[in-house]
Amino acid sequence: MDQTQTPIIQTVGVCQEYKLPRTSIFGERPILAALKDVDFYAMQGESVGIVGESGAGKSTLTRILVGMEKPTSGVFTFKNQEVWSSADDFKKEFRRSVQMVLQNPRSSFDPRMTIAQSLLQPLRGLEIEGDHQARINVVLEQVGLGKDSLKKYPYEFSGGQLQRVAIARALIPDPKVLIADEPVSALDVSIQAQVLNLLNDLVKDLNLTLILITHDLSVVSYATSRVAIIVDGRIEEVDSPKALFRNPKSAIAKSFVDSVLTVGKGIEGESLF
Amino acid sequence: METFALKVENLVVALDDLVAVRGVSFTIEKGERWGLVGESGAGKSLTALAVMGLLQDGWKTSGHVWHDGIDLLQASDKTLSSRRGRTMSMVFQDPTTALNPVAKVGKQITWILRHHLKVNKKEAYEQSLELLNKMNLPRPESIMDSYPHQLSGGQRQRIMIAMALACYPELIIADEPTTALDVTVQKQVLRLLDAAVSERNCGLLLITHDLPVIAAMCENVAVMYGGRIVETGAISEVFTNPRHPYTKGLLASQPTLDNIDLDGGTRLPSIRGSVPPLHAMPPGCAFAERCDFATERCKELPELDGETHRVACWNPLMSTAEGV
Repeated sequence: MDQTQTPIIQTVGVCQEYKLPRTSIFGERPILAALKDVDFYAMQGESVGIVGESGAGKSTLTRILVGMEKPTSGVFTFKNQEVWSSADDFKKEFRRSVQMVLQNPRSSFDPRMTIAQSLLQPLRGLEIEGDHQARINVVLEQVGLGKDSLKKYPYEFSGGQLQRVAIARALIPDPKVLIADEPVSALDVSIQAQVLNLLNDLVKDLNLTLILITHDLSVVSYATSRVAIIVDGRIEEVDSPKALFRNPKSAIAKSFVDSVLTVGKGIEGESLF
Repeated sequence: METFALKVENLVVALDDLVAVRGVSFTIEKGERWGLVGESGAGKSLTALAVMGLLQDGWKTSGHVWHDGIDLLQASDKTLSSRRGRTMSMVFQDPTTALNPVAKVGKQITWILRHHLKVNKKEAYEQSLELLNKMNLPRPESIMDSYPHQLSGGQRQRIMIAMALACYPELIIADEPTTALDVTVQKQVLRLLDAAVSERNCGLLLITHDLPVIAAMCENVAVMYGGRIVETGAISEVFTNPRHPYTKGLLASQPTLDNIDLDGGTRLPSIRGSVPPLHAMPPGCAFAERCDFATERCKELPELDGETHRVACWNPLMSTAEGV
């Protein structure tokens, strides 16, 4: 970590435990430790990837980072200030500054609202003052959509276009951190590149911090400069994609790198053509 | 006796005036692995469902699908039932929804064996155990005695493959068999499918949007776009030397570990626009709108042209191979 700068968002020793349903009448409820002592940080303007299998704790970590869940123990800070014990004003700033793009745009919009209505929600909900219409127009242009989209309903868009709208909705409150949970895995192959390029451009233009959660190592290596591999609730290895691919240190990182298939390689990694 | 496992001739699948598959032809020999690539809406899954006779009510088909000496499109429900699961079987994308949630795994596998092969309970049980053993599933006895929800996604998909293989089919259709699985499990499942096809010399129709999976598994490939095959041939030719602009764009837009710097600074080449919706499918080449090489002529429908490496394009990209 760069010593001169403090991370914009950080977790130190975060554990998250869930109580499972009782298995006997008198016994204690069993506990599932979803995150175990997780140290994670991201600097302003940095792109960080989080990679893991399903059930590894990716989603739990995401929920903690957006402030949807309070960790069982450990410290979660935004701009060097503990979020959960902070004053209401700071919480409001935090909510505004950390926004999220979800995996499936189809299920993340209210089908009965026009895009204009959907885009107004964050401005109203977060009680942001100013010219709302002007803000919406600026953001629409940033994601490459025309003003004619405002009157449309979600069903009128293709998956890729709707994901652009979802990115626009996340950008509306002028966030500092954008958390994208599998932003392209529900999209068609030929559209994925468009959305990934858009995310990359936005991060550079707006100096955003991007936290990209995915199970696809090639997507992460394309879009981020640092990757954390999370296994069974623990962060096993953090490194640049380059180092990770050339020289994975842990066995689990190696198994991830080995599992990436590329065109022209056989199942065992042999060259085909 | 025929040498092919499946022969599709000019298959058209339509719902009222919406034509989703617009004349698809291909042949899969026994022991051949055939890949079908395309995006959602390209018609690849409908092609598979039409072959299996599993289209929902209202979908109309025309053309011919030859398999096991009969035309499946003309066959009665009874004939189809006698083939499904025995001479041809299908592995679905999501094993969670494809398995029966209220029956134990062992029961579901033995059902197939008892129905098609008329073996008794004990034999069916033994054969099922052997199948699960082959799928590298640990403690097959306890898996036979579990319900699908008690197993992991990878285990369930291996059970689906075991069920597909149970009666030694001539043809296996795998529709996105690894899309719902974790990457680390993906390879194990592909390896099993690969071994099963080699061992039994059956035809494999692998449907996916994942180009690397097709490249690793198949010998031949067809690229579908807008309900038609736009390019087909041997993997080694189509993927190294794509002649249709769509195939080339697809291959280029994949983030792979070779075409990026691994420092987060590269831009991926992307195909502009998106797939035209079914009701607005242009009469000519469906890709023309998104194509950099489109000309006036692309308003007419191009047919597949060529000998082994065939492409349906008026302005195919020049081959880089010498002499061609």
